[in-house]
Amino acid sequence: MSLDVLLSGASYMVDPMAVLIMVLATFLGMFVGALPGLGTVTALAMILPFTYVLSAPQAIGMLLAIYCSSVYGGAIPALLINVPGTPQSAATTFDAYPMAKKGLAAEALGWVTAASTLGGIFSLIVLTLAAPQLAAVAVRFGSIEIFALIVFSLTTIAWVSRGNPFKGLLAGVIGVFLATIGVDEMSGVSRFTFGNFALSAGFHIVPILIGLFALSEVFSTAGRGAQTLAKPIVSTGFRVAPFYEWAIRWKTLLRSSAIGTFLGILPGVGATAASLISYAQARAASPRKENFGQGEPEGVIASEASNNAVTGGALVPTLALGIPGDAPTAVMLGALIIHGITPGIQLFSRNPDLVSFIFVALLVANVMMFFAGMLGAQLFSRVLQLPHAVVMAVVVALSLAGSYVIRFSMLDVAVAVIAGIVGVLLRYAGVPLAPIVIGFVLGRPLEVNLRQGLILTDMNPLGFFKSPIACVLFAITAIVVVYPLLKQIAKIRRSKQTDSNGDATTA
Amino acid sequence: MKLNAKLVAACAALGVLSGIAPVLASDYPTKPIEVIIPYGAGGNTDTSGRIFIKSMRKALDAELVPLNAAGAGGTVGMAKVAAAKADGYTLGFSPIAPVTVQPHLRPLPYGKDSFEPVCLVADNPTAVTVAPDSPYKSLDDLIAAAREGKVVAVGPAPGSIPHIVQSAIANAYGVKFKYLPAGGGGKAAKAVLGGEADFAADTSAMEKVHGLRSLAVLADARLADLPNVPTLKELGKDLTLTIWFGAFAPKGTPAAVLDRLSQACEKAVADPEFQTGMKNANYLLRYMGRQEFTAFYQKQFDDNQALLKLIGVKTR
Amino acid sequence: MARFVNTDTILGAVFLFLGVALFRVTLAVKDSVFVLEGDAPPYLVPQIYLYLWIAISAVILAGGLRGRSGAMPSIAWRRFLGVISLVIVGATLMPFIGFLISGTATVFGVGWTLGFRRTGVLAGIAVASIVSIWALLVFFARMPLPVTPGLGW
Repeated sequence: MSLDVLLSGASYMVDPMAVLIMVLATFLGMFVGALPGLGTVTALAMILPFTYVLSAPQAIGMLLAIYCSSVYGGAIPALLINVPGTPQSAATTFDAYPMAKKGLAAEALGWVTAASTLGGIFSLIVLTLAAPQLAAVAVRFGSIEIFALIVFSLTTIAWVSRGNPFKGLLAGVIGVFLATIGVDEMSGVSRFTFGNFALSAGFHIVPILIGLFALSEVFSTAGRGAQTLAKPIVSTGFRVAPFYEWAIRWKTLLRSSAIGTFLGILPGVGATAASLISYAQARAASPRKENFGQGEPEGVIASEASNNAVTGGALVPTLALGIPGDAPTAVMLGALIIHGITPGIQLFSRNPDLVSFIFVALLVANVMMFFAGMLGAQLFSRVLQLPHAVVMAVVVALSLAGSYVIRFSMLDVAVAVIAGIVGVLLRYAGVPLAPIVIGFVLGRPLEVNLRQGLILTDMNPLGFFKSPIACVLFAITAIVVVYPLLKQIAKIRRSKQTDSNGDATTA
Repeated sequence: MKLNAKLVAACAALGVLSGIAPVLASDYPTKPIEVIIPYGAGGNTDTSGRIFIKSMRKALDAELVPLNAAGAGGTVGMAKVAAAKADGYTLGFSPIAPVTVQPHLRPLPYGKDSFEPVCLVADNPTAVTVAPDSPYKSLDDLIAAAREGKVVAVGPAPGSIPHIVQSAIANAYGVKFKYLPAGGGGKAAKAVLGGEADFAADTSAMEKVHGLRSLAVLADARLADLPNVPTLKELGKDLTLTIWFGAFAPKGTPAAVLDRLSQACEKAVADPEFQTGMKNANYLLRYMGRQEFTAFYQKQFDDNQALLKLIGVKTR
Repeated sequence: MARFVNTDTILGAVFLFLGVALFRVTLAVKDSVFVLEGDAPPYLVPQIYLYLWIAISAVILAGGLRGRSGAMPSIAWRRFLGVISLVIVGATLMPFIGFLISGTATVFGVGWTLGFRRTGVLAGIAVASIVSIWALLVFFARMPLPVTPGLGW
């Protein structure tokens, strides 16, 4: 994309109306994203009717602003009350909430906001530089390759669990199993529905998240009794950490942005998995491993940079092929179509101005998001100054309403409540909850791609190794699983050797 | 518009107070009408449904609210419609499959007689499409390849229209395709462009939207958008399969209300905004009023059952 | 005997039982309605998961029986069960009495049970939060919540 084309795209931004709409959309998206149960898709669907009356650039600007800021907005309740506003922010709770609980809410908001913005900008640079080329690579990832990628992604379960590794595995298996409940569309069989028709649609991620994170937090607060309801010391407002704090964590920022962008480009994995995977990778690679889960900024960066990086990544196949990278981009694709813009190969050749406008608008949206977060933080962080009992009570109301509006089904409300009760009991038993979420979001694509691969190879799993991409991914998975084990064994052997040496000298 | 609805509501309330509360079509609607879209936001049904709802608002001079209730191939949403109070305040906007195919495949809480068809608004022929660089230049090439080895067709889960289409074509030519249920629309296009599948049998819009190449359309006549693509009829197989979209009300909705909706629907379909919107979204418009659509729907219901049997799918 | 009552034995035993019960469900499968040629049997993948489930539960149970793991957690039972029951009741009543009433009552009840005793303030917060959720979802986002019968809201 040459500079003059980019500039001509920027000229659309001169429209003050478009800028104003984007500012409003940024705040709206942040707000809707922050409400549990109303995710990015809802935010986009909500403003769809308004986009009809706007010009195409105004509508695009509005949609992009909503898209980015709603992904970011999900992090706000994640850090304040341990409730991810959107599924994408599930991993943000791991470190941002402990940080806020220590009284560092302003710092947590700073990390979250800056990481989101930088992740978003990283992905948009990738989008601008190489969208058509990357899209051509993305279509090479068929069922077998995606299956291999998901198998690799599942290894991250080990990194988000602490304590007894079997409990982490059990949680992961519960997650993938929950994803099989409902009608199996490939065979028409209702699995584990026990005759309940509403259950044939399967579980939705949002009620499960609301239950496991929000309600179980409320229940566990209740179980801890009175002493924990004391007000924490709170720093309110917004504080971005000084440069050297970022400088020592640049690798995580870059890696997480890259993971988010890459998984965004490949349809079928999704932003929730992306942020969990990059959290796990950050923890595996970080010299500050031990701090993870206790308010380590690197964990916050990992989750938020990658879920916002998914935005630019998911737009790659959407714009270049007309194939939406995830559910939010599917809504945007629908909106573009209504405006008479058909994304696809032809868009880049026939309408380079519009494409470059999309890039510029995305940049503007990401920058606006930062300032909206900065302003909003003054308000949001005050939530923590409310009595904890009151906050928890309101969380219950948000949980009930949020799980209902997902599909207007009482079943989802019941699922949230049950997930909350089971969640708190599992906490007491020392079972980590994050692997359930990872298993659940990856479970369906895991099974579907496995079965599609088996159809293509005539039920011969060995046929999967004919794909070079899959072979590479399986090899990496094997290394990731085996290497820590070998290291462990070597360590034990070495300590034994020194022991026996010691014995020898004393004898 | 909103004010107007409020006025009507106030009048209706007065009517109740003064003891004269006849359920007249002229009173309808007095409150927002919920239109259930049985698929998630952003899909085909959602896009066309929202364009339709927007024009219906104008035509009916009332508030219509789209509700996405996705799940289990659209059956969860349509089950909600079937179970809703038949007062005209809950409608459904469904494509062909949830109402005329799915009930044959597995037990559902609704069937042929659970709905009052309101109107048909769009009808898209299906087409056989391949990658632009595919070696198959005609349908005959594809069939010849299928006779020799394995040709992979891609589409949504079994029981979807593209699945039925490829099966019916295979049946007509006496060959077999391997069917990869990787999804419809963009997902199917991805599989074809990536070389995982050889062709998709989705709507004829696949050429325009995803740059695929059409080999044949399953329509009665050649399409204006694809003048060089032969129909299957021209190729000697009398096979027409389309994906239509229509509005439905629960069984037992008062006839007066249905007539009012059907009239509004006619107005909405004639709305230029609706027409350009649907054209942009690559839909071919086709309007049928209540009576005509009811007969059409019932025939489609039976036809699709027969078709499923023909292609070897066990039906209920 | 008390040695065997720890979180790991309970966890392992419960999930072992659940896993076996769910596995039995997969064996009682009725034949599928449409079988796609070349597709794996519909219960293949869940069965693989359940094998893992049962094996892992057994390992955890065995570990618990060897008494390796922790004591039972201390829980403030009255408060804990009180909040859980309030949430269950609030959720169950929602479709019958509407979100506005059940939601307000639940917020008030949970706040009270968690130890916030300024009744007036709590009532105010309960009403304000429920009304704002209602306004946001129903009026702004156009997503209906369960209404109170006879009132229409």
